[in-house]
Amino acid sequence: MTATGPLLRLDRVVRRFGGLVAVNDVSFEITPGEVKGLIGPNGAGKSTTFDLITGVRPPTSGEIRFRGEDVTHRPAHTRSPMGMARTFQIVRLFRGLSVLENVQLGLHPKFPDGLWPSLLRYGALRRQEQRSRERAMELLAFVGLADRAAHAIEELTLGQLRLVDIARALAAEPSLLMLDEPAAGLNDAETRNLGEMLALLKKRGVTMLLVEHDIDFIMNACDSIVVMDRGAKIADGTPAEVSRNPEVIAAYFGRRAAHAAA
Amino acid sequence: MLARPRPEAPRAPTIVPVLCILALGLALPLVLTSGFHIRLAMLVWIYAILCMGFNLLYGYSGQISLGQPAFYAIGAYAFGMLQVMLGWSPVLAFLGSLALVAVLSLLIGLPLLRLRTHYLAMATLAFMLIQNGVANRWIEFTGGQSGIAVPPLQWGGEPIGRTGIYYIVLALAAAVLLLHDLLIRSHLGRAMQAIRDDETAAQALGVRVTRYKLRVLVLSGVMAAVAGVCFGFTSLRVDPSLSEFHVLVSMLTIAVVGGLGTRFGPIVGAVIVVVLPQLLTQFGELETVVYGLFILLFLLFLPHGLAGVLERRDWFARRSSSPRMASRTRELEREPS
Repeated sequence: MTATGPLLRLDRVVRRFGGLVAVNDVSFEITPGEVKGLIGPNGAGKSTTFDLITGVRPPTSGEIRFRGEDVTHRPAHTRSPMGMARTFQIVRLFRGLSVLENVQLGLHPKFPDGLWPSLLRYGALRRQEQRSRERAMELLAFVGLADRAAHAIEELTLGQLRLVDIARALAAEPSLLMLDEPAAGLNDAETRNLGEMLALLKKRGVTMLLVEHDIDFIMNACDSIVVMDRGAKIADGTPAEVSRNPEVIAAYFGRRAAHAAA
Repeated sequence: MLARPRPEAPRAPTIVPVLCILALGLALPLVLTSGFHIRLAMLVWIYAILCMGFNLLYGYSGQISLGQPAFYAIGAYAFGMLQVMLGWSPVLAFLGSLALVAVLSLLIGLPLLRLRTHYLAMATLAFMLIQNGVANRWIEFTGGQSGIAVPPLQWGGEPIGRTGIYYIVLALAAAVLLLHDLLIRSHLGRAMQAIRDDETAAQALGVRVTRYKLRVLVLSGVMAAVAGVCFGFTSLRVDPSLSEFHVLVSMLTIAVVGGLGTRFGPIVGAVIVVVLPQLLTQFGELETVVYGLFILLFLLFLPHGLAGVLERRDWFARRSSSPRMASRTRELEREPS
């Protein structure tokens, strides 16, 4: 990655599902250290955009570059070793594993891949396993859940589960952290707690892309915001700029209301 | 909140229980004097090997293959036929049959792993039925119903005695057990469980899902072949009954009774499924009924199997005291950070 270039760059990205254009010609960039928001009404194409960036599905056309490399058609599992980590809107933790083991999975790309390398370096592997437990414990302590390390996933509240998901994503020390509606379903105290944590991560220089429904939350957390409506990007700027944009107001409060006001 | 003291990481499981099990296995021939009991002990290990492969595949990776008995039978047949037809030494025949099953399971896995859940189960079951059909009907090659004879293992020109054979089975079982345990306690086992619980999330964390599934399918096939080879040189005859439904049923019963996705489920289950029918003979005609009742009780009250109760006792213990935990959680949340 060049020191000055964007960390992530979407260039005229399109995704069709049959006749439906879910993402229509969307371009934007994320520079290192930036916290970017991606908002829009239901069905605006936020989640699809998120899926395209994370490689869950490929775009129909356009290009996605991460750290200067073309990742448009690379499968999802290649993202984590490159330094892109994500969380899920519907919490997708591994229910058969303990909280600690879930966070440890975030460190998976750092382990040798395959049976033979693992057998041949058994001693080194045990030490690496121990280090990964300690690292996972640090991350759990960071999100305030160290005392839940040995618990089963089903014993945690939704707010706690989201924090485990974030700790798991942070484990790989990603250069880009992608959060898919992290505040969805959280109560006020949990949302505040999450906001403080994201502020702390930002202070540590973690670049983030935040997809969110909660406008207040995103206005506080982000440096700049991309607004989507019906698959297209309608605004891109600071929270203050975006909240004054008439197209954004129309998208959120209805076109008729916007016309009536005009 | 961030200043809260960090408790020690919970300790990783150790290898000690595995060594205890192997020590027990070593001591067994000193306790069991009759040949019949030694044979039962060998059968326990053979089923344990077969089921450890199934445990990795289904219990840990969530890929249900009902074709395991076919790999078991192919391993046994290949071991006998490579010696009788090609004149290979037992060691070569052993390695040859493992290689054959590895290639076969790879070829089957490539197209089949696109299928999931019951489709994968049905396709692999079909493979077992085909294998069984070939073993039964291609009489010139497989010997049909009566099967083939396997030459007895020899050492220095003399056939190896029953206790010697037992220790060979034990050595192979130990190798499989150590491998099974290494996988489970390492990042590889963790990745397998991640695939079982949520493929999309596993992929997002950099786990190469398809590659892992294929590897585990091949490994479990090879483990079934090891079990088959053991069966071959303990019983000296291999016939189509190796891939009949009762083997599949025994394998699934062991999985249920011992506990799927547990470290020692296959061994605990194999001990019960092999030994219990011997104890139930006193019920005479009612034997099958009592056995069936027993399995039913397991399904109802111990869905994680016997090993599951032992290995996850801390989870079970906490669940019973959960109201107190919940109030403690609320207290912690109210503390000013």
